[in-house]
Amino acid sequence: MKKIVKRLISVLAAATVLTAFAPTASADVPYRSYNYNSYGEAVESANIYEPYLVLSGEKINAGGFIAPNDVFVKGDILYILDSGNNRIVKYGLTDKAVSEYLVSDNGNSVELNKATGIYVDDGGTVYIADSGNQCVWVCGADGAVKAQVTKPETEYFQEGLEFLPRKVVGDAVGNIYVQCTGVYEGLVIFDSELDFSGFFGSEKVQTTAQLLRNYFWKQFMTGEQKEAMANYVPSEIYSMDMSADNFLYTITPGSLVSGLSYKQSADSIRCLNPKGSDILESFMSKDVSRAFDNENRYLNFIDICYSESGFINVIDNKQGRIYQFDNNMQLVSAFGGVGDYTGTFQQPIAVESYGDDILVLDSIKNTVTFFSLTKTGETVHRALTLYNDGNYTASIEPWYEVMEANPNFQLAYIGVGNALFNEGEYKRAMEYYEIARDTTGYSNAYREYRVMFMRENFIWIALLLVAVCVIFKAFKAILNKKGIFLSKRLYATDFGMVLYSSFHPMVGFDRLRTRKIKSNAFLVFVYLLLVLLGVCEQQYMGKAFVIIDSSEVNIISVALVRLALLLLFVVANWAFSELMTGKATFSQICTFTAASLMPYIISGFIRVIMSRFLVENEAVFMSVVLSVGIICSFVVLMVAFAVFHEFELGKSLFSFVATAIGMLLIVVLVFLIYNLTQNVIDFIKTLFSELMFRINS
Amino acid sequence: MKKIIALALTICIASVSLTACSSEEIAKEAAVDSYSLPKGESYTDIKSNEFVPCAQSGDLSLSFQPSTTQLKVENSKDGSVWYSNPQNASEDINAKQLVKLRMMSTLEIEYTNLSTKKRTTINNYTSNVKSGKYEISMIENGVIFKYPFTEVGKNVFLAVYFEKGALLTRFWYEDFDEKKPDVEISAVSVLPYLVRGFMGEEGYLFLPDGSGATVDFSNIVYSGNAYARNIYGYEPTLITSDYYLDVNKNSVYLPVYGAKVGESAVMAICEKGAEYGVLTAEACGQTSSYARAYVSYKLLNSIEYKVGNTTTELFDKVGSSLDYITTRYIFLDGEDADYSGMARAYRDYLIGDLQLKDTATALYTDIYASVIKKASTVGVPHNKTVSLTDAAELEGIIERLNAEGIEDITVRYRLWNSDEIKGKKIKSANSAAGISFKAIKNIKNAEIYPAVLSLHTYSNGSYFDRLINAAKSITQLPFSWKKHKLSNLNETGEAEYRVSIDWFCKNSDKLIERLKSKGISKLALGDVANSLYCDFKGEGAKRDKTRLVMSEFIKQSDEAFEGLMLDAANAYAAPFADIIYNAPVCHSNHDILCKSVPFYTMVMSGIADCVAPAYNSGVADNALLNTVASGAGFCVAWMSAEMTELSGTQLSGLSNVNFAQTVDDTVSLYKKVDAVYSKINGSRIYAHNYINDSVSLTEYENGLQIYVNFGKEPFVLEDGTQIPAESFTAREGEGQ
Repeated sequence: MKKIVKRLISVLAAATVLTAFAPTASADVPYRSYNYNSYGEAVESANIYEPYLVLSGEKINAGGFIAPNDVFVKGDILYILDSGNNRIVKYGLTDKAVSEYLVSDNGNSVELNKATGIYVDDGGTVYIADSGNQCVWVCGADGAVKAQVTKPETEYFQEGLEFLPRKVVGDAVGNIYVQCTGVYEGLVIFDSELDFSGFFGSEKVQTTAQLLRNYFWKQFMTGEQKEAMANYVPSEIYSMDMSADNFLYTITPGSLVSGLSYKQSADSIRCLNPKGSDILESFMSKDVSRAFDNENRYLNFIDICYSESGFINVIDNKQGRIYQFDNNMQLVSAFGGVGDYTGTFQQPIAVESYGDDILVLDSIKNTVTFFSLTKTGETVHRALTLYNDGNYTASIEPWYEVMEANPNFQLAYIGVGNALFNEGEYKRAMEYYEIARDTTGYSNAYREYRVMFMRENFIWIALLLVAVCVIFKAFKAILNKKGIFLSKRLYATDFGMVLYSSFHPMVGFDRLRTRKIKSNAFLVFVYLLLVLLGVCEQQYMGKAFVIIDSSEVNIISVALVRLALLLLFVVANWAFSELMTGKATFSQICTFTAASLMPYIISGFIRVIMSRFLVENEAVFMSVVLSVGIICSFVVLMVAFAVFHEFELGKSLFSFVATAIGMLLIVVLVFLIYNLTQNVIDFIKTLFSELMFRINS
Repeated sequence: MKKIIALALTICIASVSLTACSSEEIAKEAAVDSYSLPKGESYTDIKSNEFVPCAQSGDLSLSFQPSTTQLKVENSKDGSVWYSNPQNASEDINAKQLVKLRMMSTLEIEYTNLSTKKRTTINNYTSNVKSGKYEISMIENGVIFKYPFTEVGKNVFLAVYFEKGALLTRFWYEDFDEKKPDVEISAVSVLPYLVRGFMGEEGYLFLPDGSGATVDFSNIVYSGNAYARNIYGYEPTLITSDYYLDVNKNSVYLPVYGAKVGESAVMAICEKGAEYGVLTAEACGQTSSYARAYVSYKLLNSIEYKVGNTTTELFDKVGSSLDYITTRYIFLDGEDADYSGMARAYRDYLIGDLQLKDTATALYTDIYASVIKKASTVGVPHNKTVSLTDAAELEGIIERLNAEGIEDITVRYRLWNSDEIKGKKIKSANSAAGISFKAIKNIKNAEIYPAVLSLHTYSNGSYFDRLINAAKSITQLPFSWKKHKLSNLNETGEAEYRVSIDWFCKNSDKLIERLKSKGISKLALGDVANSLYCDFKGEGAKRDKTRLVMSEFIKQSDEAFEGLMLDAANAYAAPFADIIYNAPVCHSNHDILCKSVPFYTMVMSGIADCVAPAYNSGVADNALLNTVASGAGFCVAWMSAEMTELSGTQLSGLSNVNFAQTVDDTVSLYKKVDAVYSKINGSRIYAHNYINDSVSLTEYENGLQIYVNFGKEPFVLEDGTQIPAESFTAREGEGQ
């Protein structure tokens, strides 16, 4: 108290007083905003928000704040819960008027004690979550206490559990939702009469491997042992905000991972309807969703705010960032950071919105920072609002502007793609879907385009097909007439013989075995085909199924992986067949393995070609073709086992399974050797570094 | 054979002696800098509390208080008195006891025990003055104090004297006869409380942060960290990740700071040792009732070094290359007692006897020539160069601008150099595929400056190449800055390196020759002008040596080319520039800073034409207003290609750079600015101030006044002129 007085005196003693607005307009933006591109990579994006004002207790002549815990905006009034000073400060956002909101009960001043949450309803009633006093104060606009909500006397509330309200929020019908520490059943609801009416919005317990393991062992434990084990309870809701249409937005700390940290993800953010069901479905693409979850797993979402314009703002106090999502959980932008600059934070603890502006409270800097939309931000919001409302055509122009400002903004391309699709410009829509890597959108547009193309060019396509058939038949007839039988010539060679056995395994393999035929050229041929297939599957698949960054395709890695797999199979099969008294030699195993792959390879290529003409819904045809190819390959392999190893069917199957296990064992062995080698190399490197340092110093 | 070898040796020796980076020349330059102080008469009455006059220079007189060794400077012109320390420190209600003791000192020293790695901060008041263990010598024009610091085993000297109308301080130290081998001085602050102001007093601190910033004495801050920035940027060898730099961008280009208190001002210039200085400032309330600014000189670098599973700390002493530290204090009064006066005074100091020149205005453009993109053909990964703006397209851009009535156009043509776009060390003047220098040379109606911006920074190359050619850290391994992911701040696999000083010296001359042989007559340089680093390879080069090497190279380039453009130049490089690109036009937004002031552009006005960062390069929305308020040239970044070409490249962060899409808006913006700038007529900036919190006034020597309204409401001047919201207006006035 003395400290506050001293500071107040020194502030008042100041000859001049700064106006509350310390314009930061003429200053740099000290952070880099980012978003995720179509490949799930975090890339820099144009700033959507920039800081323009910092309020501190000193600046508004209210005396310094100490560890403030919450802020709330109602109309044009900002309420700052200055927990360290046990007070609430009101600040007029338009008239700059400052006053202290004093809580009194029948004329006696009420001292708040560790209050951490504040909410003001439309009628001006102020709710203060005061864990130190174990109650929620319900006060009028003048600060007079109307009611004091304490621990409900109900069997549903655990005996011995203290009532420690942290946050409070209300809905349009007068219910209040209180988040209490230690209560895992969800938010505690009190109705408009402030009577306890139940719990709301409990999280489900995440089914993890650890949970399943513990459940398994619990079946064999005594009662005492079970008591001693940790209980799995749902995560507490950490903070929440209510939208104007009574949807409750909540954040949870995420699921417990390894006892050390919580795994935060986009699923930690929920939108609960009045029934308590989470209706928030993320429309982030798989790549972006995965990247967001992986890269943000050790964050700590600490507060959430739903703005009037329909955007969800979440703050993380580990990296000091604000994440803004639209109603479909698409990430609009991530900005902010930890630092000593306006727009960065030391300990952000609360986020609030005022129109389109975002306010962030920092409990170490003791300031409230205001962020406003930049021109780019306004365009993005306009485009998103139009798009989410279904006004695709109207959203085209702002999306074009967004694309110019931020070429990495995936949504912009999807937005333009959708708008063009609706206007019937399918080909152009496909281009934008391709940039956005939206396979679903591309597929839909391609389907329509295909229909249009077929309609316009049906005759020519039909004529072309007929012409191809005629030419093929004629070519074959001419060759036959001249006595040139290509297949006979081909099959007369060793190469051709091995190829023949791919399609006629019984006869072919028998000939290979009895005549001791092998062909290295065929082995190389199959291997090259496999590698080519691998590259084609990555780079040339139809865009309705896969849109890949072609620069990521690396023929060397494809070749190495396939070579490794082939070698693994051959070596494992040879090793196990020796144990099982199989009669095939190593070169024979190589030969029949290569031969058995042909059906799979051919079906693979057919699948790639089909993917260029089919759409997403027709993927089943491709699956059928590939399945047929795999089955044929498997059958050929089984026949090869029977012919070369002289195994019966059962033994052939067992040999196949044993080969698979053998492959795994070899992989483990290789991994161990690699690890050991790596340790040796690291040791030598360390020695070298140390030597270099000693010599030069 | 012997004759050939002898001839070859002679040539080698001759060429080594002729290279600009010869250590003899650098040593010679250092020797010229030396100034030996005369020996003084001993002053023995150290118990006296009266201030003893010891020197006079014009209107300034210097006295010292023998009992505390505190100083007093009086300016008879305006009656101002400047004390080195607050005279009422013990009564400061906002200062803790420890701080009060520090407020009594004129020297703060941090020392490190190299064995225990423990750091301790002491000051001359608690270590020497209180116990009377110090000596005073009077010299001509000043006084020398000698403090034997037994904790560090060194005698520390502080000389204070007048020279050419300014007050100079010089700090140096000598070991005791029985020195402590494990203890080294790691940092020192001289007169840390001289540049200060009291809470609520009228006035401010001035800091050279970005364009310049004030810390008002009425800005009271009780929480938050003090401001601390390395002069001339952070030392890269001490940082392993570039994340730190993202939120602490290099922004102290000029080694000068000051304070305006009432109607007087003092400005401090770091003369010797600036490369090792950390500019520190506190607002009122942070540690005491005073706001203060000072420079702390780091004399000992340290870095954590991991060998296997062990982490150790390695130290490097800069002391041997820095034998003393000098600061110059200039006292200003009357009309000059503000940051505008400081800017004029510092400009005069910087240029010495050189003449100032008239300023020029133009439309400045950053044109991107090409970029490297990853591609794959049938699975074979490779890099391909994508042309963004070739010569024909550049000509088209200039013709279009001419057609819009814009005649004065200056182009910085970036990413044309084949080595640079591939991230290699720049050795050649080869242009990227599709870029023809012959065609570019023929372009008329524009001044074209081909840019080589990353001369001492690169990212490509093999491990062995880096082992041989990259600068080394204290650990003797090539140091690198690892790039980090924006999302989770984890390090990526990409890293940046610095070329070793030896390699730079060997190749810089050849590069100039090769560039000239390409017919390049104007050149734009980047990192050599705005960042320093240590190199521990071989003989080693500390920051001061690197500064000399870079300055010499810039000087050579200035002599070799008709025009030289530098990027955000530091003080030692700026005098050689014709144009300074990316000139700072606002401050960095640190928590304690108040207003942005265009100190940088005021200093450079008449030395080089300053150009603001491109307004479409991700800067704040009011970048244009900052540009006009600072008098910097209007700049825009462009390319001819579509924006989608940038996806997945190093330029993917750019926005609104497609020429066709943005030319109309940009031209109309430029014309709005030019309507005001055309009235400058070559005049230099004279002064700047704020009329209120959101309206600034920039005055030129010819009397032109440019008002900039940052606010969201229009503002009406006394004569009825209205300045629209978020806009600017020019008004003619009387000249200076």
